Amino acid sequence: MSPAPALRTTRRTTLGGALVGVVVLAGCDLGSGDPASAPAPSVDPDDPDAGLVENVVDDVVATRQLVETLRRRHGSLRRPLGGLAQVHDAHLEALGSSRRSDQGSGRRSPPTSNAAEALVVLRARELRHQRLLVERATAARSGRLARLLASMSAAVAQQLAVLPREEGR
Amino acid sequence: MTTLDVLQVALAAEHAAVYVYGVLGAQTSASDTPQLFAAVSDAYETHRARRDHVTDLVLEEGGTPVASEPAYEIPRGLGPPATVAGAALSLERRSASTYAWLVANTVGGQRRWAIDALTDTAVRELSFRGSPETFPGADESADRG
Repeated sequence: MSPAPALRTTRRTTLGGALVGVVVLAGCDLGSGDPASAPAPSVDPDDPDAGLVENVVDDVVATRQLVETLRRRHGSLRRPLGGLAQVHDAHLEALGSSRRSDQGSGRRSPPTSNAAEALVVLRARELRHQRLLVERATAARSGRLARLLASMSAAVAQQLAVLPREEGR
Repeated sequence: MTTLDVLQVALAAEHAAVYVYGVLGAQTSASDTPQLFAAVSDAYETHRARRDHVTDLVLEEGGTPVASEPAYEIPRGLGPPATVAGAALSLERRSASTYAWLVANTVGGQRRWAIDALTDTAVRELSFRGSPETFPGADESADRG
């Protein structure tokens, strides 16, 4: 039987996490050298999480493509969606993917006649993406990967919270 | 570190959060700063519920829940609404780091709970004038590829 993911985290991660808890107790500030840090996962064919990572990468690419399509199609959304595009790009990089968002997912973006409609479509797509991240974070064998995917999910949730409800808002 | 140890650390963090939010609540006014008052009150209730939940998890694991400390260090200079909001934001960011760590060190339902707590905390940061982050609770990921 393989060890539980909780036991497969590095000693560095474990100690760092404990420190985070203690620091919360003390009300002190964590510096940039937070030892809770752990190397970002990269895709390794022998990694039991490799398929899961590929699946997540596919979904990030597809979601990012929709963001870019809508930014091009509706000029008023170019700026408001800039932060979302950057978040997806950073997530791809953290996953160790060499794929770029302009390397086709094979999916066609749905037609949108105006910015308000585009935002409705985008919100639904981002929500699906966030749910997928939660599912994959829960299923990941690696604790470090789970942490990364959970953080990505939280980032998308933040973006959804600040996404304009309608054009010009 | 065992699952029980991990949960005890999370519980200790929640004890601290509940205490600090109690102090922050006393620094806000429902009439003068209704939005901040509501946000702090909601955060207090949320962390109290999480403390109770993690206490149950510790009991399920066969442990004795770690007790809260008599007092915790609180941020200095509280009073102005912006300072209270800043302290709350700082607390939520530390909570996000704790939940992210909990995600890495748990499995199944416990991990799922930690993921939801991380997400909720990340969004809650925004109600305390926080800005969206690329990797809530895992800042170092932004520097790695």
